[in-house]
Amino acid sequence: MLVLLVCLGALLAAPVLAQGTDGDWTMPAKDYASTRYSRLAQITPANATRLRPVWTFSTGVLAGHQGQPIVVNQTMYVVTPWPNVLYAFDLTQEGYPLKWKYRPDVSPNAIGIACCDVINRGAFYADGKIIYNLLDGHTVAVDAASGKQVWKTQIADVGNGETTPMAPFVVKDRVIVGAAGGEFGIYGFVKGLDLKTGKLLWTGRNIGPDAEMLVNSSTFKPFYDKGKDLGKSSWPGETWKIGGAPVWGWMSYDPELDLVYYGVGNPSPYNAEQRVGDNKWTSSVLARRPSDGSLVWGYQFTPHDNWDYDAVSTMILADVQIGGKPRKALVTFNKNGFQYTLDRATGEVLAAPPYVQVTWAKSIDLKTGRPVLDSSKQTGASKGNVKDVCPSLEGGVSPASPAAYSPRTGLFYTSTNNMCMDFAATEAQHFRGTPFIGAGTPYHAGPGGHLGAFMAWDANRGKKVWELKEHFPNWSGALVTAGDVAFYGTLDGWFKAVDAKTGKLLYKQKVGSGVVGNPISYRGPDGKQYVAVYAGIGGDWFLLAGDVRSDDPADVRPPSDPYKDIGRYTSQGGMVWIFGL
Amino acid sequence: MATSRQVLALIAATLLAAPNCKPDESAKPQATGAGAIPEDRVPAGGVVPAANALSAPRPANLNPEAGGGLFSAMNCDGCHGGGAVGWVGPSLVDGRWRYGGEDDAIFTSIFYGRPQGMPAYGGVIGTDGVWMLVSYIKSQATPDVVPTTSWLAGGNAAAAPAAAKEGQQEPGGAAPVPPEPAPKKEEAAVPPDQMPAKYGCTACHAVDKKVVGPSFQDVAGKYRGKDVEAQLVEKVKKGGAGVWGQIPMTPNPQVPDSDLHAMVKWILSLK
Repeated sequence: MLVLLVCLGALLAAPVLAQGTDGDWTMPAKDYASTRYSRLAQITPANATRLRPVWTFSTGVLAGHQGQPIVVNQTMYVVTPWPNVLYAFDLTQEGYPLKWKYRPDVSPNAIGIACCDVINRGAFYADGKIIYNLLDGHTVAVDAASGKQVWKTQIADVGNGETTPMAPFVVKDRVIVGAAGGEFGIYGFVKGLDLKTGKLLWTGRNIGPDAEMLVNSSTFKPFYDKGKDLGKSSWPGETWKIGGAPVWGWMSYDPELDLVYYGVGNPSPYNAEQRVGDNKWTSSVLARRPSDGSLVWGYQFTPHDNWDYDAVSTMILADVQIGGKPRKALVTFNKNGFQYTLDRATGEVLAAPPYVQVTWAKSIDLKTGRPVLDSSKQTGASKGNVKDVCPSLEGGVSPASPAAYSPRTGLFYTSTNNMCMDFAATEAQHFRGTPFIGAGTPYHAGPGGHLGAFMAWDANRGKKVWELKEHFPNWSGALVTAGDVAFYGTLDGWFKAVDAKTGKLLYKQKVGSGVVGNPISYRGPDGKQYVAVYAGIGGDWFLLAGDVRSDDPADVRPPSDPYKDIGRYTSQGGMVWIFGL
Repeated sequence: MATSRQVLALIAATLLAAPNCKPDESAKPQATGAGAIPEDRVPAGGVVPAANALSAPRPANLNPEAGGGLFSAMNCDGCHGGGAVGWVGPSLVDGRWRYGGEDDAIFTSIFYGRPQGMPAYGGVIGTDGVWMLVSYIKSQATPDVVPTTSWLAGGNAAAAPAAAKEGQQEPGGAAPVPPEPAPKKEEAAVPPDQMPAKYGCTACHAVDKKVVGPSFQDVAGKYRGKDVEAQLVEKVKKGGAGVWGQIPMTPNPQVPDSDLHAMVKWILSLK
């Protein structure tokens, strides 16, 4: 029965907006629709048990290895966490020796200003250039053939609390970038640079008055919200100026609609009583024209976010069945525990079922687009310690672990976290360049006691199809292939291949450190299919996991609940792995 | 009657005259030109600290609890974690130090910042404020962090040590929920003029001159004849900025309401 439904889903699914050649992987999420779906099909459930590591490389950097390699013209490009070294490996030669490496001069000040480890989410190939962000607020373009720097543009200011871990996103001749800093009270933005020269062409704020958000009232048509200057009027006084709204996740693009979609992070500070109102457009998705940045629509997932539910998870563009009809949808697994299916032309919410345990809201009202709140789970400095808010602010799915979508199975694949939190907000003061938070939020396991899982999800029905429970929170991205194999890694350092239809484990390999990166698949010069992934625990797990570092004798920490055993299974260390048959 | 600040200054001067109080030269900041910090430091609040500020040994009678309030109010816990147990920044309570654990070294780390993102706080909290933070950090018990972590039966990691509970926090650096405070033993009441020292106000304020914040006499002068007690009580409790400039007043939730009213009354009575 299950298989029958899955096959039905595949028949109904329309083609996705795949880009590039099948054998390359030129952008973070494989294609503009952000499917992380590879059309390579040599690796199948029948032969995946014969997978084996074919190559490894130590990046020489210990911090969290999020993001993913890209593969273009028989060359693999790898960006490390700070200090953001770019390696170019020649896949045509035995042992994949380096063609070159590029070592930029990156300010160490960024180390302490980045909220949650010095991670980097990857590079984008376009116009013969490898384009990526340095953590200290610069975007660089490096010639893909020679490794020579083509341009370097400052787009953010570390002194303001801004850092730049996201991968740039390139559409036509625009490079679109944003900055993190939702824990530092930044004035969040995205910027459009010229692909050829790196020149700054436009800046669109995510909060604030219409003029600074690049809102033209005749062309800005949010589905639910009407009125002028919503990014200002939904904040008290001038609090929007230090209201956060960072951009540290992923972007998607629909060429037919000519819209770029990206998620906006949390409002600052965490203590929501200092910013009464909806706080638009934090914890939202915004749709902009890439050429001039003008805002076309916006939808706020979590109005007046008082749980740090950044909305920066990957936005997958796929066709989803709603009421028996295919809709051009945008699908995202929000930190707040709901899986949203939006009409990607208008921002209308078509469906929003919970995908993990959710306690902060009972449901999403599809008429208004707003959550139906549970009044006992609203937080703020006057409310003391609010217990058992689910999901935790790591998210039911962490935005750091992007989902995948297979048009063959019609299913979405994603890591999940099974964690809840207690949330005690306190008054916070803003000092430029220092944290602006005001909350303590310890976590505990959700129902069942396991802390994470990897699941297949049917957005047509709003239901989980299968799930593999993991002992620790699950933080790797997902990959699914035309061979119907899905891949992911775990925090305790296993890399796994599973049957995309059934979830059956096909292969696993210990990879030296916890996996918080995203697997990719490409065709090598020998015509064979390979899968590559980073190992290297970090990101929030640099902060959360207790003693997983061994490099600093002056920083020793006790094991940390509720995942106190992580240090038994993994330590820091950046590695690139390639698997093949 | 001498103000608490004058008392502090007197103590400081006395201690300075004593031998064996020479600042650790190696812990001095690299650049000491007026209003300068090295390029690899971030000035907190955008305010560059004064040069050559390490002027005295730590005043002996600072209240570590007030320093703890400042640790939270100045967002130190945002990077070092609540209880300073470590977060994106290193633990300050494991008995181990990158730049030295002596008073002078910790003072220098806070006042002038350190490379890799430790902001220079001297510009916003001044010498007294930094010494209060030092007193708080030095008053913290060093937990049972030992060089060996063992998962063997009976090993120290086989059952999570009690300290582990304090390590769980959220990303972005907020503090863990502090344990329920033990019932406090009844403290001797202090007269209002000693409350500023008791509650850490003297980190930023003095009676008769501007420090980081305005002098208490200036505050009294500004509001003379106006009924602002309730408003100022609220301001002290919650903090704020804009009245006296852009350096914000830190929130002070640690001060009980009764003392707060008494202290504000006293401040407004100053001539």
